[in-house]
Amino acid sequence: MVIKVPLSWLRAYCDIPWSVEELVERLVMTGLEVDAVETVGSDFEGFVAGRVERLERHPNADRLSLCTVDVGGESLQIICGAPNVAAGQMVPVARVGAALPDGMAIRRARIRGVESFGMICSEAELNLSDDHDGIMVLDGATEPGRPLKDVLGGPETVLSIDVGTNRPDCLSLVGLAREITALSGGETRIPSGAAADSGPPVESLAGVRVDAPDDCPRFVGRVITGVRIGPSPDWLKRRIEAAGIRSISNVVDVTNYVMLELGQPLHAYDLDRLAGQGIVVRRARAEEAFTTLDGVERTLGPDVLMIADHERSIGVGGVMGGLNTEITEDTERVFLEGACFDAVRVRRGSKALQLQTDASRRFERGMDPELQGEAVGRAAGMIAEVAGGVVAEGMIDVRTPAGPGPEIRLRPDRVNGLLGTGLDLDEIATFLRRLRFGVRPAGTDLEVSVPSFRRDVHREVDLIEEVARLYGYDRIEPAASAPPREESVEAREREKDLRGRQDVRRRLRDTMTGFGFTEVITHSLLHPDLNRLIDPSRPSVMIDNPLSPELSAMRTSLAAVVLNVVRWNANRKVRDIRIFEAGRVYWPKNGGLPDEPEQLCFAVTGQRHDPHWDGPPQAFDFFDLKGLAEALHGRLGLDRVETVPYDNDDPLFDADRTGELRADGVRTGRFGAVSYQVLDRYEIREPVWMGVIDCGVLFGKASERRNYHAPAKYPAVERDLAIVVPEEVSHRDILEEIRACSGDLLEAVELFDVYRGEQIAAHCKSMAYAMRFRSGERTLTDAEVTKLQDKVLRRLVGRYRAELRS
Amino acid sequence: MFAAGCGASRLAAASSFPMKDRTGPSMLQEAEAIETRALEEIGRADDPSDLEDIRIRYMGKNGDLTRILRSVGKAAPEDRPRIGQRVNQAKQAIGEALEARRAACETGRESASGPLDVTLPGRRPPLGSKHPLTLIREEVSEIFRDMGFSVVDGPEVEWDYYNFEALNIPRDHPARDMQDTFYLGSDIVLRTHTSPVQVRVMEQQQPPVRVIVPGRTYRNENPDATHAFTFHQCEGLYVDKGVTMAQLKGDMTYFAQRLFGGKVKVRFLPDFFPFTEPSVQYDFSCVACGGGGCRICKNTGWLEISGAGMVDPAVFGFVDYDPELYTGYAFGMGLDRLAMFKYGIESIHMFLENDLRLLERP
Repeated sequence: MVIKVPLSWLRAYCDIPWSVEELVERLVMTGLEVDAVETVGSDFEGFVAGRVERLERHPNADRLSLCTVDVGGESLQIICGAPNVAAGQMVPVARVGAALPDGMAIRRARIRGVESFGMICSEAELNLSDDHDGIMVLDGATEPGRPLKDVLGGPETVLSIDVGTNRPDCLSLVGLAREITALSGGETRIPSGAAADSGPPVESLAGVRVDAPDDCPRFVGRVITGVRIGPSPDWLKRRIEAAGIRSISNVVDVTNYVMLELGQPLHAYDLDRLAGQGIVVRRARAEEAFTTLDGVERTLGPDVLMIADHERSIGVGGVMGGLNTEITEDTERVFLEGACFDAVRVRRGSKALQLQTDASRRFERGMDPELQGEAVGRAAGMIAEVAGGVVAEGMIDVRTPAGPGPEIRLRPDRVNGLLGTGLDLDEIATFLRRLRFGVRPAGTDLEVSVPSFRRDVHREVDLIEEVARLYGYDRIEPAASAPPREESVEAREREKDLRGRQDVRRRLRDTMTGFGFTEVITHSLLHPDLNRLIDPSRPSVMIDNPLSPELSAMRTSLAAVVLNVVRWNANRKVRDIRIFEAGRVYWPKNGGLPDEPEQLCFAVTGQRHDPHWDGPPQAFDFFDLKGLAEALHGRLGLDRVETVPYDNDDPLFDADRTGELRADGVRTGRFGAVSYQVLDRYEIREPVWMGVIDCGVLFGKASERRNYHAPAKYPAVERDLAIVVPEEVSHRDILEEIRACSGDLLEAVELFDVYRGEQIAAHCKSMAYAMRFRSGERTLTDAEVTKLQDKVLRRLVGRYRAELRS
Repeated sequence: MFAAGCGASRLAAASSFPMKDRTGPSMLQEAEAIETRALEEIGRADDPSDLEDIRIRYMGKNGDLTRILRSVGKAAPEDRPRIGQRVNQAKQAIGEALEARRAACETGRESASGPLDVTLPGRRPPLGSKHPLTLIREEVSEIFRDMGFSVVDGPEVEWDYYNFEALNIPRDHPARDMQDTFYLGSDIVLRTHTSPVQVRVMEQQQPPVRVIVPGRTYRNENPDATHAFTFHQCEGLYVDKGVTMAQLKGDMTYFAQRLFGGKVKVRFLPDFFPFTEPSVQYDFSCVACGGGGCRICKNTGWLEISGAGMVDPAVFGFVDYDPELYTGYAFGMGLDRLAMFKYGIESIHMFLENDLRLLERP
């Protein structure tokens, strides 16, 4: 949570012996992140307070007013465009010759034919806030002609400090002052919570009953009677506005002022609007309707803590008060609430209302249970000061007594053992005392008591962090960690397994990039329709609270996202796309977490090669894709890789141009031309070739090492065989026959020509094979090989009506 | 090698099936002599058309070798196989020599005719590249492996228990707001960090534990200039007897210097994470300007990298490690961010945009 800290205000609680830059540096080094340093206001040279004496409409412009402004001893004619300007107001005036904080110079000007001698300013123009809705209105008691710097003060430096959820005590100026003095060694000036209470006893005016003591361990109330509600004095307004809180009225502003000062959220009720002049703290009823201060009607449930009077609800505990008892202009008697609410209860209330406030953020981080009396007293006294009235005597204090704060034993060995430092007992004790911990030596250790505002500290390790912070993280000397220990056999086995899989992943990527493919990495989230398009039978893993419907499902196939990349780049005129992605897909499982199998998907458009001057372009085709897919498998060390017809009605691929990959008889993936139906849906206008491989099978089958084979000792005999077969006989059919009847002597066989046309019968094709025979034990004779060859031919003739081509 | 690309000569051979036999011891010598002569001629030829003449002369329809083959039937039957084999051997040797010489003649010429213009574009093999996130992951993994860490992973769709509870972030804790979360039901989330794998590893394994976990994480945040809803982290965990914060600093310094160079410094600032105590934010001195201040480091001289700290004893409680016996450090790092610094990538959105004009590095 970020708080804005006006430095001049912070200086009220501590001396800061450093420049702003040094202060920021020290705060950062102690764990308070400073997001921004801004200057608010300026020295206002040439600016004065002025009273608007008369207001007329500009003769030539409906929206402009012609103001006569008393700036102390003289009246200026000033043209003003703000809708909220009115006669009698005290306003900030930039006189001719002055310059606005943004550098704009104020000159005598003629606006639509009428002269203007200065400018009435908004808060934004004065660099006080972002408010440029209208002009700023000053305290009416200000004397016309008074230099504006005397009214508003000079330029203010405001730090924006991001306070972690563990340090609610630093969400206040006093808390920050404590941190600063812990660093500087100076004193923290904590304002007194004692109020002069000369009114009737508070118990005679109001009562408090806490029905939910676990949710509200402490509730403090005081009453101020005879107040006059009005605007706050300028100094008060100035401080809270510099801290980013809008001024509302004197009483409400004081509650915010004290919250910023001490960290305790306060709420002011109109006592006369509290039925029975009493407060009840209880849980909300089921479906209870309630209108909060922001005018929104909300429905609550028993998970939420309510503040009620004797008839109705008047506030959501720790989050926001209600419209029905808010302070109005007519309020005369104020009931001031300062409570300690349970952090979880406030968080539930805040979540239920979907409303986070300055109060709820403080409560849900944990509240100091000793703060309420001080804070309510401080605010009551200030209200009497700025809004008149009398503080009723005493305070209502309903509480579950808090036990003593924790006592923690701190071992110096442990401090140095965890931090890698060499601090002695005295140094450690000094750091902790500066942070207001109570420290007592106990043998070689320290006995440490924790102040009530440090609810984040309850263990030895928490104290060690405090010691480290004050010592300075920058003073911890880097040390090398111990070399890897002699590990167990089990640990080595585990590492070898891990590496096996990681190496396959790496080889996969190395191979694909070696083939000229560029790796892409895409989002895992997409519209579920895309999953259905690619893989209609598989349900999607769905997000309950997606950013948008387009990002509401997890991908079930990489194809869906890789096609997005194809489209994106094709639209940007990238030709000859060759991409791949290796990543997870997400498949729902009954019960438990979804499966996250890994896939490899590759896609190709355009030409086989980069265009070259020496030849015509050739389109990438099915056999390029097939060769690529099989080569990839071979590269990963898979055996018996083959492509078989893929007769699944997979909508991703065009049924006539697709194949299934197998290694060792197990399906590893599929590839082919992406179907027109899918391309249309992606609005891709050119053919896309794609392959989708199941990495799980690869991981299992990829051998980590391929055996080398010694070169053959005996010469090979090569024979070519050209046959004519009917069209329906496949290459694979012929291959199987050749292999089946040549046994171990066949070293290799390769198709080197397919021919159709003249000299070949209709519906037939000529297939020409080169065969290489070799024995590992002897030199093969010509006759032997010829016999084998004849056998092959006979088999093919018998089985497939093959004819020898002559 | 069983090389492709000689289909034309094989086709010619295919048409000469089947072969006939013949005899004569002189035939054997003749075949040998022809082979020797042919090879000599091939060696002298320096023009493809000369080579074609040689081919016709020896292996054409009326070529010398073809002639011997035709007359093999006249030889004694016991000699025939040897002669046939010898002739085939010679044909093969001559064929190969012709091919080799032809390739040699053509090397350095754009075609058989005309002088060579060396400035004409060559044919480049296609170049692929790995994604920068893969490159950085591989590099980070390599460095940590050298330091004795194993690389492990875990599910992206994760139990609330591992993502939050066992990392000391109970329900109803404001620290949950630090990480806007995608939910899949009440108990399952898209992991908001790679930290849950810490717990999974410690559940499976006793100290010493040294692992890093590179992986994908998700935050339910509307993307803007510096935020994305998907990003890539690398978690690290080291638990053993006597692990110190000074070692954390030393190890992060070693890592930073291996990745970015020996002059990089590491700075620790106090921070808060529920699963480490003490917790730090760690920065590297700016890798672009060396710490003097520039646009990349917003003139601070430092680059905020990520969070780290000493494993909170509460986390050890969830995995039954004795916090009196063991201490450990844990750290995170944004791989996207490291890749940006390492490769000069300006926007986090470029990673998943997959603009090939960017990814295809020359």
